[in-house]
Amino acid sequence: MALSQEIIVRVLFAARSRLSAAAWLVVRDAQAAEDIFQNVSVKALTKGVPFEQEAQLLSWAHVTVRHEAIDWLRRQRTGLVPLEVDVLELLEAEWAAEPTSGPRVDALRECLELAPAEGRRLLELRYFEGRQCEEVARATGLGLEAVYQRLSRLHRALKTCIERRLTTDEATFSSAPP
Amino acid sequence: MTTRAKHEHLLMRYLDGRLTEAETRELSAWLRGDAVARAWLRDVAGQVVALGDLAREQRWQSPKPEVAGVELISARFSRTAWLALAASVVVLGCAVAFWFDGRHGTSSVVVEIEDVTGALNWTGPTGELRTGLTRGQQLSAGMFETASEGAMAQLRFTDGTRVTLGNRTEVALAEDRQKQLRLKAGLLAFEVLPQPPGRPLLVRTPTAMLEVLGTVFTVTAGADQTTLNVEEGRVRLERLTDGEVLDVTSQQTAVATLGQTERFQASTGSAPPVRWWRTFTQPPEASWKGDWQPASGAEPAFVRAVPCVAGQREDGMPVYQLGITARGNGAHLVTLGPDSVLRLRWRTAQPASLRVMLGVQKADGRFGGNFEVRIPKETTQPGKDGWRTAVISLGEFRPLIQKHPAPPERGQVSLIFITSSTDDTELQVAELAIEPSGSTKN
Repeated sequence: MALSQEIIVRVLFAARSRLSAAAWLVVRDAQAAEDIFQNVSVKALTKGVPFEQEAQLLSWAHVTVRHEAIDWLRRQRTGLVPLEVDVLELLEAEWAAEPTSGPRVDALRECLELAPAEGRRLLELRYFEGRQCEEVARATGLGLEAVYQRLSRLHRALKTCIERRLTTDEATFSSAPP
Repeated sequence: MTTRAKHEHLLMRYLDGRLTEAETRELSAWLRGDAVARAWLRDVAGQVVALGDLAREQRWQSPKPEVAGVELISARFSRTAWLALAASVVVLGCAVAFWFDGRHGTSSVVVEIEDVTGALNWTGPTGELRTGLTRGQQLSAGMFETASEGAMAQLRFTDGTRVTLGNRTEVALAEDRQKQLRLKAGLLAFEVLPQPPGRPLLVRTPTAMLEVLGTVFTVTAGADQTTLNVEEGRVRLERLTDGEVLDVTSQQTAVATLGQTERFQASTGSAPPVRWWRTFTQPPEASWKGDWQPASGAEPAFVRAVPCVAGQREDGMPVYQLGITARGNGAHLVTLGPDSVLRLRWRTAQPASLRVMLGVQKADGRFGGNFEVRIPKETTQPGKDGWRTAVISLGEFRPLIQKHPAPPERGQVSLIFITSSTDDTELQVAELAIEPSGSTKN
């Protein structure tokens, strides 16, 4: 029996984080990634072919997100080059095999509150305000390489903090280099 | 620089959009053989999506003063869209064409939007669609629709007459020699200034025709019933099935249905009670949004969140969020008092914060504001069965529209919208109440 519209929406909602993340890895623009996810959701409901199983729907959604993201890059003529398709497929397969779909907003919020002020500022500039790292460097007085290093450390610290928060209900934050 | 450090540097530059084609190939080759690096990349992408959600949420919690409702639409509720807007455009276009058959002037300004929260759409006589309407916009005759949960809009005619559109209301509106409205479904609250002799304001619903010279009243209509509440003045109500006419005066209520067996009479209206309490031993009314599950063994009956139209993107695309909406059936749910509290018993598959929005109207039916509260998951502890209970005072709700900073005195709740902070938490509600502080369950 074909999945109902409500089930389709539920399945896509549950996978939203990973589908949007897959789009972002290609376009590297958070708003564009969100738009791509929404467009794919609309396509899933208006597509003439019924989905029989959730796995079939998710597989179709991942492929469609990838195609739409690559099309978006071409249309924008940004010159950005995406990762090679087989690598994107590998990432999608690993995402599909994961039990959860990425960090939860609540855990992230708590971990951000624990982050040092300078780190929060970097994350805000880069991801809340959507600035390129070069602009972040100018705004903070850091060098570009220093921005890369600090963002990389912040992502690792957030990952650790979120995992701890989700598994033990305790959050700690350390972005010191290993 | 070690090989790993070099590759991580490549990754950061890739995410920043600064790699050449050759460098991207090199990065792809490395990722192909390094599962740890791929896991890190997936995690960073997930963090970026969550950071984007958080950024939208914070923008939503600090709305711009003049366009609070618009921020609600475009920023916070950027979620899943799942319905082709084209379909609704076609439906609305047909309805407008049916109503505006050339008898009415259609090009001059008829109303100005005085206040709006949530998604408000307008469709002109030729099918032109405008979405995401904001305060101050002036519009000619057309079909207006409040298109999201909790959406409300207040329109002002050029003579100062005001009409408030309740949540999920569709109404065609025109003014040529006289004001004429066709309410397809939903709620309208009027503040009608004296109309010219012989040119009363007319409201047509599927079951009734209302004729108004100057008064304050509320009309709620569905496919088979129209409910009229008159606050001040007099409204002439005609039941369409048999043409019977009734004058409804101050503080009176009357109902016109499709059938002729019901008594067609005006009765003294009364405000909704100050205590409203709901469990789900019976399914909720059709006007609610939620998937009802009957009690099973020790499990209480509950309603489960379903996709609801939560807002609208700037391009007009509806955006959906899983939620539960409670509405009165032809009347408001409850009258608020200074000591009112909201009591909620709920459960989610994973710990999650909740948001609860109240749509409030003034005692005379005019729009009284939308108010929202966030219930962080830490503030409640689940029982062994996973159910949590929260009691929130009215003072903890914050306004979504600055023009309405606090619920009005004797404000009446027309809508309660409950949603969780994340999309996949399987929100379930077993009990919902608004009551004076200290009340106990029946």
